[in-house]
Formats: sequence, C-alpha cells, structure tokens
Amino acid sequence: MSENNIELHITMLGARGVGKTSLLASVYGQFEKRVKDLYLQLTPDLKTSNLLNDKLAELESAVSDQIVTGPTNTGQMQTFSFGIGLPFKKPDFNLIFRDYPGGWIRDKPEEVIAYIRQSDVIFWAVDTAALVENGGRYSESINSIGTITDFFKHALQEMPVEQKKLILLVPIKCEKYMGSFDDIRKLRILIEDKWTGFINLIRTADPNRQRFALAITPVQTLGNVLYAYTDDADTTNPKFVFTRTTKDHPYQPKHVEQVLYYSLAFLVRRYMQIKRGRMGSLAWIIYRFNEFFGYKPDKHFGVAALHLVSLQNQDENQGFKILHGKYLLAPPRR
Amino acid sequence: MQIILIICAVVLVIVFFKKIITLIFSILRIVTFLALLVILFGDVTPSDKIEPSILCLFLIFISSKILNWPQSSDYKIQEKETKPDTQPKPPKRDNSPSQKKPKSPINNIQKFQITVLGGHGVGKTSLLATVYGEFERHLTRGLQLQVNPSYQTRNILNDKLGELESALDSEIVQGINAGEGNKRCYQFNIGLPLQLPAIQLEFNDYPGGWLKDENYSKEVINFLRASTAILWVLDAAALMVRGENEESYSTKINQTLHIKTILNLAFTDLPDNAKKVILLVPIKCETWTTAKKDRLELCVHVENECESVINLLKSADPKGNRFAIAIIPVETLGGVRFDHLQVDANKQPQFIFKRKDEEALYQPRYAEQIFAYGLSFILQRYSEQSNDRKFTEALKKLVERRNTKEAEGFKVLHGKF
Repeated sequence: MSENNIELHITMLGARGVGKTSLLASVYGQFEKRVKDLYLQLTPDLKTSNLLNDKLAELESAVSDQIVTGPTNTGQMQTFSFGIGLPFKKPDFNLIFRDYPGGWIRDKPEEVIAYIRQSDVIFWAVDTAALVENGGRYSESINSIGTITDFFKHALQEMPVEQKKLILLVPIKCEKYMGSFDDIRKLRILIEDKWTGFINLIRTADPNRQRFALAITPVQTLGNVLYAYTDDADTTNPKFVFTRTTKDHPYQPKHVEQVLYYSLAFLVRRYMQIKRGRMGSLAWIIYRFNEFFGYKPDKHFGVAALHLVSLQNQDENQGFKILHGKYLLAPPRR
Repeated sequence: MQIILIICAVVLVIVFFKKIITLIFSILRIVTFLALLVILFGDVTPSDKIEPSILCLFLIFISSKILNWPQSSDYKIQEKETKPDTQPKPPKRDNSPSQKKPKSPINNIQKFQITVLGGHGVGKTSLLATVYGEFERHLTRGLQLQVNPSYQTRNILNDKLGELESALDSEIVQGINAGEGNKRCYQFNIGLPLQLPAIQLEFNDYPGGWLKDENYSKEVINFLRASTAILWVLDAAALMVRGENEESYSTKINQTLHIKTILNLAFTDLPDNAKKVILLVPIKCETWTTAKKDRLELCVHVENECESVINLLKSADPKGNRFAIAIIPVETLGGVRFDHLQVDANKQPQFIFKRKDEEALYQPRYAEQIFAYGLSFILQRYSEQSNDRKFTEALKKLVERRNTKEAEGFKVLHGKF
C-alpha cells in the first residue's frame, strides 16, 4: 500500500462467539450477490478473500439442527482488508476491518480503546438472545454495555475535531424477534432502553450532530434459526442454543448487506472529505476550477453514495433506526 | 600497437562477420543492378575486360534472389538459439503482457495464453484432456486449419485421456486425481495446412491448491492478466445439488468468492485495448443436459454464481468490444449420471457419479465448443493484425460451428465473438 493511500478503519466490537466473523463473511457474500449498478468495486486482498470464502462455505454448508453460541474460535486478532474504487481500477481507498477476540474487552481494554479511537466505523455486534432472554440476566456479562460505554468515554476524549465516526448497533441472530411489527418494536425499544447511557454519551458529545452517527441495523446472519433455550449449567459461561426452523435452504441471511450500505455511505462521504482536506492549495484551486466547469474528479463516489443511501433500509417497522447524526449518512453535497 | 589494432579488427570481423557479409551482398546487388542499367540503357559497350566481372556479379545477384540468402531473420534465429535455456518466468504485472504477444523464434509464431481457472479438484485437467481428445474429431474437418499439440502436451494429455476413458470401467465413476505440484503448460500450434504454424496456444493449468496460497494466487493473477482466453471451470454438481438439509457446497468446491477476487485483481488497470474472452464452463453436467428444463436451470445457476463478475465486466465494457463472456456446458465423460452426495466426517462433500448403465461408454460432449468459442475469439485477434485471408475464412467456418443454442445450455452473456 502506498503512503498516499487513504485507509479507513472498521472495528467490530462484541462478545466472544457472538458471530462477528460470520457477520463479515455474510455481509460480503450478500454484497457480492445483491449489489448491482453501484459503480464501485469492493475487492478484498487475497488473504481476506480466502478466509471469507472458507467462512461463507462453512455457513452455507452448515447442516446441524442446533447452533450453539458462546465463547469459541477467534483467539487472535484478525484483520481483513478491502480496496474500494471504480470497477477494475486501482482502489481509491482501503478499508481495514479489525476483528479482535471478544476476550480482549476484559484482558486488553487499552487496545480496544485504541481501536475505537482509530476507527471510522464501529460495528457493535449485539447478542440478541442474551439481551432478551432470561429477563436480560446475561446481557451485561455478554454484551458488556457498561464496559464498552466506558471505553467510548475514554476513546472520545480529545478526539480530533475533524474526525467523524459511525457506530452501528447490530443485533445478531435476532430471527425470533423479527416475526411481527410488535416484536420488532419491542426489540428496538429494549435496545434503546439498555443503551440509553451510550446514546446519551454520543448525543452530549455531539450536540450539533456533525461528528457521530448512530444507528440500529438488525441482521439475520443465518436466516432460518430461532432461539430455543439457554444452557446455563455454567452460569459464568451461558450458552444459547438455536434450532433451525426449516430444513429448506438453511442459509438465508436477511438484511446483512444493510450493514455495508450504511457504512459505505458514511465512508464514501468521509473519504471525499479526507481527500479534499489533504489537497494542497493549488490542487484545491484546480479542483474548484474543474467543479465550476462541471467536471468532478470523484463524481463516481458521489453517484455511488447516492445509490447506497437509496439502498439503505430505514424502516422502523423492520427494526432499523438512525438514532443520531442522520446528516452523516446522507449523500455528500454535490 | 599495430598488433592490437589487427587483433581488434579480426575480432570485429569475426563478431560482425555475418553482418559484413550481408552488407557486402547488398552493395554487390546494388552495383550489379546499376551496371545492368548502364549496359542496357547507357552508351557504354561492354568490353572484354568488364564482361566477366559483370557476368559474375549478375550471377551472384540472381542466385542470391533465388536462394533468398542471406536473410536477416536467419541470424535472429541463431542468435536466439545460442542463448541458454531459462525457465519461463511469469509475466510481470506492470508489463501489460496481453498486448505484448511473445513471438517464438520459428516463423514469427504468435503466442496466445489461455488460463484454466477453477477450485481445487474441480476438473480443470479433465476438461483439457477432453478438449484435446475431441477437437480433432469434431472441429478440424474441412476447416483448413491444422492444430498440432506439442509432443509433451500430446504425451501428458494422452495419459490423462486414458485415465478418463477407463473411468467408466467401474460402476462408481471417479475422475482424474486432483493435481498437485507444479503448473502444467500445454501447447497447441495452429497454422494453415502444409505451412509452418502461425499461432501457438498455451494453456496454463495450475494446481487448484495454489489458490489457497497468497503467493501462488499472485502468480495465477499474472497468468490471467497475460491470457487472452480464460476458462472458468465450475463443478455443475456443486452448483445444482444441495445436501439433505438443503445446504450448499458451491462456495466450498468452486471457491467462487475467492476466484471472483482473483479475477477482479487480474483485471485491475488492464490496458484499454486488452481484449479477453471468459468462458464459464460447468463440467460434470451430464445429469443436467438431458432435459431442456435442467439445461436452462444450469445456465441460470451459472449466471447467478458469476453474476457480480459479469456485471463488473459489463460496466467496464458496456459496448462489449473488449470482453466476451459465454456459458459452455461440457460433458467430460458422457455416460455417467449423478447418484448421490456423500459428506464425510470432516464435512468434505463428495459428489458420487455412476455409469448410466452397464454398456455406458466414454462419450464426451461439447468439449470441442471450448475450441470453437476460444479459438474464434483468438483468430479474430490474430486476423486483426495479420489480415491473412485464409485465416479469416477459417475463422468464418469456426464461427459457423459454434453451438449457440440456448436450449442446449449455451449462452453468450456479453461481447462479440
């Protein structure tokens, strides 16, 4: 990567074994399948591509009737890199996903705070079953709302004025709570209630709604699984058991691509701002001159951002809601 | 001092001997020509003294014309042949290799690279062996083109073909074992009958395991950049069959997501005049090529699987002048049918094929279409440069032999063939 390349960072926060890597594989797989006429290409590097191919293959070929979530796999920090640009052209900017092990929230808080500080977009993967079931008894220990809110308090201290962040609360495996409008509304209200402290932190830190965007984007990474019961023989390490609703087409993710529509709309806007900010005075004059005569060098990004915003699902009846900073998710001024 | 000068002169004469000879001959030719002009049209009457020398020069002129010697290209051949044989290195990314067609020393032969792309054990070598076994029988008749595999290619592919032919000896049919180790290169020389070949096709067949390794993947990307034709081999069984619980194994077997990335990276910053043909080749499709409904369904599955790449290629080349894409289903064995899917303890799927009946024979179908589509695209590129009428005629005949029936599962998705 050249030094001039702009890099934007995404960090995935969430409990151990909640399914962060699956979320990323699912998101990318759906993006590849569904996105047409975007005029933007998302190309992973070879290592990322291999990893995501394997993860997606695993998701698509999963056969067991029961899925158990709980502390598993990812023992090390994983980095996924994507280049974003026009189709078959050198990427204009790079996107770095960091998937850190859930255990770091306890063991390495400084590093998590550093990642939050550095990242432009933060996915906060919410274990929906832990939040809703058993009266929310395990919510704090698994979703660590208070702890992560404190991390944000630290991370946002002395945050540079020009920096902007998008935080997406992503309830995962929420299939059971997406059945009716009433269920969806209940889940949304519950999230808003449990995250009140966090939402207030963001709102007070950014009263002008210029620096933070916060939204809820519920996703169904598998599609056909429903929460069945909690195996809490070990109360410090409860396991949530999900069963498949139907044997037909076990892998039917829903709304996962929305996570990418929201983040890309924000990131494209952010990239354009950073690029303009980095321009020297002469380059800025030339840019303005070109713009005056109707030629926009990064017009394709403007078009892509418009398209991405049009693809965003903002329907509260389906559980989506922008809680703060709607302006930052709108297409850039043209 | 004089000795050194003499040595230098001798060395120079030895080094540039051939060039000096060529120069002397050229001068002699001009002098002879001028002398003849003077004799024919001038006032000079040839005297007894100049006549023998003029005659001698005239003879040299005539003989050199008849023998067409010395010819500058001869020296090039010898110069090239004296160089030590080095391993061919994969083309560098920045060299826009697709445009720089390497020329072989013999007869200015033009090379075209073809890369066979596909997941591990998907059947890349089986496809090539079948193509090799079938093209001559179905395609070259009346085409006025000679297609000659190199000796090495003939030996290797004959062995593979033998393996394929004996696959139907047992009830449960197994293909060629997935290749390991090094990349293989198969060469086919193409020319007009009784003439030296003008085109060389070089099929690059890399082991499927290479895609798992980052460095090898980069090498595959380089092959793809240098290739005029790309055969993307897909396991039709993995595309069409789902497990007991309706789970899918296509991403696992065909490595679609990763191959898409490899293609995206290979096509990044290609020169504007680079032209490529991408043939999507579902193989092991015997079960789905009998009924029309199945053939159409297979076509839809292939299209869906490769949709994002097709869309990107279309958006990069809306007029279809640079990229051509087509679906060509190939039956590599013929007399087999898909029986069942078996998943082992390590969650590795195995698609079991069985003979259609006891008398089922090795009868591959449509493999020659790979040549018909790929070669017609390559001949088009060649005739753009050479303007050879005979090649254009062969191209026309080749185009006529293409199967374009969508009902049989063939479909041109983009571009002009």
